Amino acid sequence: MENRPPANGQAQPPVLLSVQGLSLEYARRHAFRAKRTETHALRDVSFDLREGETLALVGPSGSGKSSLAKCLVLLETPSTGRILYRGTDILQLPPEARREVRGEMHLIFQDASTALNPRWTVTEIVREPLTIHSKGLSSAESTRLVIEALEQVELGANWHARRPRELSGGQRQRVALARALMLRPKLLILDEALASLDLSAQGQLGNLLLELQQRYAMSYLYVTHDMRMASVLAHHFAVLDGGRIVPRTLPTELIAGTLQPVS
Amino acid sequence: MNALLIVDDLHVRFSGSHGGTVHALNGVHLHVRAGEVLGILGESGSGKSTLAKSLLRILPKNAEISRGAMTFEGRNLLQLSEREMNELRGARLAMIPQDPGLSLNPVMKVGDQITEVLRAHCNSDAHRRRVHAEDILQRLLPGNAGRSMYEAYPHQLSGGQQQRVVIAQALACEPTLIVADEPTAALDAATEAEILEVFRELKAERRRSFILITHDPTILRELTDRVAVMYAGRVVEQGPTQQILTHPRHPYVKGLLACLLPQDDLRIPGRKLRTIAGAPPDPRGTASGCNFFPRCSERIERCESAHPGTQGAREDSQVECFLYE
Repeated sequence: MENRPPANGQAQPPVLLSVQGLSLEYARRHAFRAKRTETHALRDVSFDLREGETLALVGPSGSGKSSLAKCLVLLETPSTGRILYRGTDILQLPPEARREVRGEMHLIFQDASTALNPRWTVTEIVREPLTIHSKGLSSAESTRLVIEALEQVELGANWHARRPRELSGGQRQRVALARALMLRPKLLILDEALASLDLSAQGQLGNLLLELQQRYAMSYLYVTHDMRMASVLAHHFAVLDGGRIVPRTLPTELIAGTLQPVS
Repeated sequence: MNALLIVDDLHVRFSGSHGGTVHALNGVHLHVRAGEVLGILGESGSGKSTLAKSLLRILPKNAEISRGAMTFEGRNLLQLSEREMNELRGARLAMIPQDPGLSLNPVMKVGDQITEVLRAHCNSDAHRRRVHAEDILQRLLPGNAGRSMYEAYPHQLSGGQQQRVVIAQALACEPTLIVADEPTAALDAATEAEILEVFRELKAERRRSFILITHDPTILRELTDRVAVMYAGRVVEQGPTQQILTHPRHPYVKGLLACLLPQDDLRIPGRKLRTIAGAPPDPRGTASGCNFFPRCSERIERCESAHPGTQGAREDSQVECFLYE
C-alpha cells in the first residue's frame, strides 16, 4: 500500500472516502395534483473517512442515514455532490469502472433475514459475489475461498448447508458479513447492522468487526442510532439530522446505556 | 403473600409443523403485587413474549400450556372459560403490544379505537365515552394535541404518537395489570425517551401494576421495582431492581450486565468487547442439567446432569444456581 502511515502512528492514514456536498431529493407525485413535492433526504453532506478507521454516523430515524448509505454504493443517484473514492469521483465513472469500485465497498443491511435469499444454503449465499464479479476462478478455488470466509466469521462446517431460517439472528448477520468479505472490500457500510441483535450477540459481532479491521485495515462507516455501541467502535462521529451533518460534540450523557460497575 | 398475579411452574410448548416440539417456557415462577412494576429481562428466544401471551391466553393454536397455574385476582386464569377471559382482557388485564403500527386498525380513527374498548367493557353512553377517550389522549400527549388526535388515522401519526394511542387503549378501562411487551422496541432513541417518560409518570401514580418486558437492561433501572431475568424459558434470577442491576448473582445475569459496562478504549489493538461466549440452547431439546451450563464460566460438575432449581426464600430474591445453595 502506498502512503502507509509512519510506524509511530501519529500521522493520519490517507483518506479512503471523501463525500463532498452531497444532496439527494425524492420526488413524490400526488394522484390528483399536477404538483410534485420533493423530500430533501440529504442536504449538502460532506465528510472524510480514512483507511482503517471507523466513522459512526448517528441520527434519529428519518434523518437520512440509510439514504446516504445507498448513495455510497450507487443504489441512489444524488442530485449534486461528489463521492471521491481514493480521489476518484465514482459518480463520474463509466459503468465498467464503477463495477470495479463496487467490489471494494460493501453494504450490510439491518435485517439479515430479509437480505439473504431464503431458498439458498449458506455456502450458495456466500459464493454469489464471486459468481457476479467472477474472476475466472475454478470451482475448487472458489469453494476454498467460501470456506475461508465462513471460518473468518466463525461459522463451522456444520452450518454451511443450512438455510437462513435455520440460523439465529447473529448467525445470519455473520453470513451477510462473510458474503461481504468475499471480494476483500476496503470499505464496509454497516447500516444498523447490529441493531436487531441481542446484547451478547452484538458484542460477539462487534469483536469480529474489530478483529477484521485490524487484520485487513478496512474502513467502516457505521450507521446507527445506538450511541453506546457507536462510542466503543468508532474513531470519529458525525451527527445527521434532517438530512444535514450537524456540527456537534457529543456530551457524555448522550452515550447512554452504561451501568455502574459490578462490585 | 398478597400478590395480584402469581405464576406458578408454567410450562408452554409449541408443536412444530416439521415435527419436534419447541419448549418455550420450562417452569416459570413469578408474582406481581398491586401497584408494582415488574421488569422481565431476556434475550430473543428466552420466552418473554410467550409468557406475555400466556397471561392473556392469546397464544397461537399450536401452543399448549402443559403445566402450571396463573392466579390473577384470586382466580386461576387457566380454568376460566373463553367468555370469562374476554371480560377480563382489556378491562382488568390489558396489553401494550410491541409494534403499535401493526396493532392499530388502519381504516379507523384512533379515537374510535379507544372508545371501542370502552364500549366493550363499560356501560356508558356514546358522548361520555368520547369525552373519556379525549381525556386519556389529552393526558398522554403534550400540549393541546389530544382533541385533534381523536380524529386522526394511524398513518397520520408518528411512531411515538401511535404508541401513545395504544397506551391510551390499554389504560381506558383502568385495568389493574398491564403487560407491556417491548413497548419501545420499534422506536428510535429520542421517541423511546418520550415513551419511557410516559411510563415513568404512570408508575408514579401507583394505581396499577405493570409487567414491563424488555431486552434492554438500561430501561429497567428507573421504571421497575423488581426484575425477573429469563433464560431458555426459565426465570434464572429475580429480585429488587437495584440488587439485580448492581449485584447480580446468576452467571448469565452477570455476563449480560457486563456487556453494558463502560468498555476499555477499543481503538487500542487487541481490545475486545465483553460478551457471553456461545449461543442460547436449541429450544427443541430439553437439557437434564442447567440450561446455561455450556456457556457458564463458573460451572461445576453437577451443573451438567442436575438442575439447580430455585435457591433462596420463596418470597423475593431468588436465583437458580448451585453456587447459592
